[in-house]
Amino acid sequence: MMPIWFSIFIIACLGSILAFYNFLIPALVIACLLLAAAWIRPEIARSALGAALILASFFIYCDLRIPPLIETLPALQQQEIIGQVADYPRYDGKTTSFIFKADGDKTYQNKIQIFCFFDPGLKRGDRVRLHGDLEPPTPPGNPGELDYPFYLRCQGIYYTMAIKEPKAVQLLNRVQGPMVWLADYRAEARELFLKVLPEEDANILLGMLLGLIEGIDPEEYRDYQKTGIIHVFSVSGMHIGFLLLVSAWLTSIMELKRSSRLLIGIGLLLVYGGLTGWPSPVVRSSIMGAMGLIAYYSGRENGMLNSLGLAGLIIVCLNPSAPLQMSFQFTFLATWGIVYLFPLLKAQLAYRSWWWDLVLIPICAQLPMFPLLIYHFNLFSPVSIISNILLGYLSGIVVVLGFFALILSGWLPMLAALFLNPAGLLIEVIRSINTWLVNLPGAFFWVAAPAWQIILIYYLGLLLVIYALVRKKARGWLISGILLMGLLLVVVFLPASLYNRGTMEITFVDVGQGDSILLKTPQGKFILIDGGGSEFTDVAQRKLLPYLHNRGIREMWLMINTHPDTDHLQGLEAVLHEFGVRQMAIPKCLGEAEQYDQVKKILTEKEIPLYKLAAGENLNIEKGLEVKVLYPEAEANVVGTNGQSLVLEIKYGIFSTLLTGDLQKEGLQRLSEAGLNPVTLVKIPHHGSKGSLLPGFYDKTRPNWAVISVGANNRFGHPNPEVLEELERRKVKIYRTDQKGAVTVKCDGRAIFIDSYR
Amino acid sequence: MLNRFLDILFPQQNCCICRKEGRYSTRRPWCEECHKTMFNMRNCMSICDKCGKCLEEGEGLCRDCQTNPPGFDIARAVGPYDEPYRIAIKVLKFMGRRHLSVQMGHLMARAVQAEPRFMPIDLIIPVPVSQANFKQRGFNQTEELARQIAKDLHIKMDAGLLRRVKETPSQRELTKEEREKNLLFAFQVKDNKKIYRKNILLVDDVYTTGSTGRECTRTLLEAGAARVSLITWATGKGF
Repeated sequence: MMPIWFSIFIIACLGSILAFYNFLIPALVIACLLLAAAWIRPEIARSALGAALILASFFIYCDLRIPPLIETLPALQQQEIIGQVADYPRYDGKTTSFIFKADGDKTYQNKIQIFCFFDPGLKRGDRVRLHGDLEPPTPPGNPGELDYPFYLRCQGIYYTMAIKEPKAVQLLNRVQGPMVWLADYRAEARELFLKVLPEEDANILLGMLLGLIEGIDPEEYRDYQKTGIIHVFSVSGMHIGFLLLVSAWLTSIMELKRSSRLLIGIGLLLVYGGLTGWPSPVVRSSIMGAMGLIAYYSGRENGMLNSLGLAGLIIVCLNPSAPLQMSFQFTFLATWGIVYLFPLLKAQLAYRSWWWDLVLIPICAQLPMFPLLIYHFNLFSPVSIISNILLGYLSGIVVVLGFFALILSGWLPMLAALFLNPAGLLIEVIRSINTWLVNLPGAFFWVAAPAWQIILIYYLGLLLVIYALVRKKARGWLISGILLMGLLLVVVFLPASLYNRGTMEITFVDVGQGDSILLKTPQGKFILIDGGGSEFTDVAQRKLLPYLHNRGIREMWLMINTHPDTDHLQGLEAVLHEFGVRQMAIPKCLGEAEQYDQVKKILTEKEIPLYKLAAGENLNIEKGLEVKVLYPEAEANVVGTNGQSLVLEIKYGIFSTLLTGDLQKEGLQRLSEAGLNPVTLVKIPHHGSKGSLLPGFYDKTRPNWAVISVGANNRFGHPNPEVLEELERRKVKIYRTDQKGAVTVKCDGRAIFIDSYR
Repeated sequence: MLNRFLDILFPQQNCCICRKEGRYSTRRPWCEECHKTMFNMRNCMSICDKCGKCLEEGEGLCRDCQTNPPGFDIARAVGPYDEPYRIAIKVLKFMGRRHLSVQMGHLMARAVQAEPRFMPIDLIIPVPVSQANFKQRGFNQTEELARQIAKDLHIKMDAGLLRRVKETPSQRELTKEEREKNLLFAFQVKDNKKIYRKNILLVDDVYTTGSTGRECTRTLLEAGAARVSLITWATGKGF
């Protein structure tokens, strides 16, 4: 029999998800099925009717609480909003971000995500007046990119506001109260930690202790992701457990009454939750912790699944879209694995030594969230088994030391240092072990995002395995369950080149303002032409790499850079770091440009050959696929890098395209004079700038389609209206990556398909 | 009220004795089958007329009561210290399921009501547990039982009147003689006036050799109580 709160929780989640997507019909179908079950089998009538009722009420509740989805909310210029800072502002050295709770009751403007490009010195709970443009968040441009609007929508946020000038932020008043005291306490503790420990160690300690990750170097943070122990940076059941142990120990030393022990325990949970800012895992484990305390002190049997269910139910009631959140899913799946799967498997394996517990617990936590981890992060880390044993538990000790330091930091900073120093030492150990682990061969693999059907099959397999383990008679299902689960691994490990054999595929990846074009040859080689880049944000990590990982690409056969501007070259460096690259090519005339120094260093290090291309060369890639360099000559006499951009002509079957880099008028003129063939598709040179508009060029090439790789609202005003007019006049169908996201062209030799992500 | 709330918060889905699945609550902590077993055992048991211990057969007094008559008027138990009864005590005492005391106390009150020789009762006093046990468990199981009995019988209960003044080692491993010696002067009445000429019902969890009951009775009678009777949850064998 399923624990009652847990069953209600599962049904509530279902209701919430159905309501989020407005799936009224499926909800009705499920309810009807339940009613039918109650009709046919009277012995389960009560449970079935109850389930139908709970589903219906949660569907209605969530439907009322979640505002209807509008695809495109209008941007609102020059708004003045008054309200409260609703969470701890996070300042990463460049940008401060926080959630703002507006006064009044406008459905889509209740909560707003704020970005300030400076440190406004705001605290949680401050009342502020903000000036700026309200803009809906940008949807992802490529598959694999974080769906930011969705992420915000799950928190009830529909607008963002970017603030550039300090004077647009006006502090109205700072309310005193427990919230602000906690914020101050947290800030003071942070300062103390940073004073006592080296900066990196202190930031890692803050991450482990309070989930404060903005200070951690992103590069290092990704290393923890790769070794599969990123969960040490989210405050979770382990922290709450340690906290309650410490509290139980201290109160028993003081010989307090039971009721005061209970109150102190719950008080500590509230304080600690306030210090972390109540992310979902903290809410979940605090409720579970509080229930454990109440059960212990009132002499009740505390079913872990029950308290897990009740915790989830409370969260769903507070935030009806919570079940759609990644952090909610991860924390509940992992906890379910530990409280349900672990005892089940442990009873099966019947080992003696408790050492195996240490191995089995992380595995049980991973099993239920494995497909989602792969789906969201494209990472498969076999090393996580080792890293969780070595580092997961070590971080537990750090957390306990950290607790004492945190408690003491307000009163006796000197004594706090006594705990901080050993914690710092342990962190040093953790960091070096992690660096060692991440560099082990086979530590982690980038794998393709599985289709949702495969994920579903995995979970079916998991359920089958559980069924087989619970019911002794159904043992035969065990193997089939494991096989179904294994299917996921097989599918994600299939090389990306296996798909669509015989079809050439060109994808103009959305990298914001910049160029990045991925070519898949008919035989499955991958060629990357430019990699995007920006001085302001890490385009490679945000857009390009997630896309390549999402497709499961592990090796780049060739990388070409058209010219060494940041918005073309920067991303390629990241690709060099993360992928196996067979060879690289740059224009010959720019071969000695100093912008290439960094890349050349990596190339020599990794022993990757570098080719320098000049006009007239043919790239011999495979039969049927023609890649020709049209420009520039080995000795280009043009000023500026843009004008020396590599121009490639690609032909496969009836499809042909001209990739023009950032070529300017002068270069286009020369090209046209040299003679151009008509092509099906042109990548418009230089993101559609006016300086690259040459009508004669289009007279010669006569494209059917044009792709403009450009960032939304870029500061250069690309693409120029005149360019768009010129193309429209010629009835060329335009695909812009800022509007359509990634643009993909497929050709099997006889037919051409063009499609965009958005 | 609180128990109702806790029943909802922590739904009991296993029989606390045999772990059979079902829907249980404070009022119904064990399943029908366990309940029936308990009922049958209670009915089939032949007991000592005085101290309520199980006899092998027949009626009359057990050997103990014949050779060394106890000070109390009458002692009764709900059932024998055997499977379901023993588990119930274990779950209450060692697993700390305090809400079990409600149903157990309820049954004990019924046993008192069923035996006219208990009446009249003026005051209910639980047998005190040692400080160490109290600290370890965080509650006194006899007090919890006594509270429920007092509630059912509408009689006053006072847990503080009888105190344990001597920390005694566990009785488990000891023989009868050692137990008696161990317990000698272990209890003390806090306020003699309150029990003067009162008819007192002592409440304990298990009656094995009877030494605890006897010593408490002696202390109470010496302090001026008129009459003492004893109700326990389970009783040992008198043969």
